[in-house]
Amino acid sequence: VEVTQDNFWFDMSGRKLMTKQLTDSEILEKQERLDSLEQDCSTGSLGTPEEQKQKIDALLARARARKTKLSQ
Amino acid sequence: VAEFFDNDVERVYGTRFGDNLAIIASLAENALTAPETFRGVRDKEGRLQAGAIVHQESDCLEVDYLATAPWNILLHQPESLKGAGTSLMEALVKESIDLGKGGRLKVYAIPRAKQFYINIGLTETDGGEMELTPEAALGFLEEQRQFRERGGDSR
Repeated sequence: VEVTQDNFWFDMSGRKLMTKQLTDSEILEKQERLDSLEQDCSTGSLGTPEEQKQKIDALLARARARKTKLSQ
Repeated sequence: VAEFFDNDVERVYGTRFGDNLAIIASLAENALTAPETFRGVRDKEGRLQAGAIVHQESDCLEVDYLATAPWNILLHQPESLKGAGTSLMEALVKESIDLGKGGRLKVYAIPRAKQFYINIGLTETDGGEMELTPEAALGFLEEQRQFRERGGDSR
């Protein structure tokens, strides 16, 4: 998209931010792309495979205990 | 685990769901020991849909852990919500701005999550972390605003 006086925009302090306003379809397309990627949005250290297993086992054990407690 | 992995936890390790659970475990541990570092987004029914652990650096807000709820990883779950992670990132950008850090964020994305953050506008640094610059932060907020303005959000 060619940058013109009409299609760039500013923040509240008047600083130029982007080169163009996105069209409706571009906005929706970007959001759909983000939504499709969002299953993989984890951040942080996974640790070693063994650490991961320990973490998962502990988490699942807590979840099972909670489920049991709630069902009683 | 019962429904999707035949109750075999061995099959969970190393999968997208396994990575999510491992991060949630670390996130929960940190939230319990330092609750002031926890940030989360809830849906209209009050269910926690995504969470993060953050701390302030001199020039940015650093995200130590971030994960969407496990039911958002699995298909066709009644509790699942699209956009929880994006909404949480939006809230963190706003917090960074409120803290005077210009929207600057730093995250340590797991390998399979890098593309999500690239699409938000983060860039990978030489140190392996990913950063959102103030300019990219404002661009991301503006895109989210435009998306909502056009009726595209039921979150």
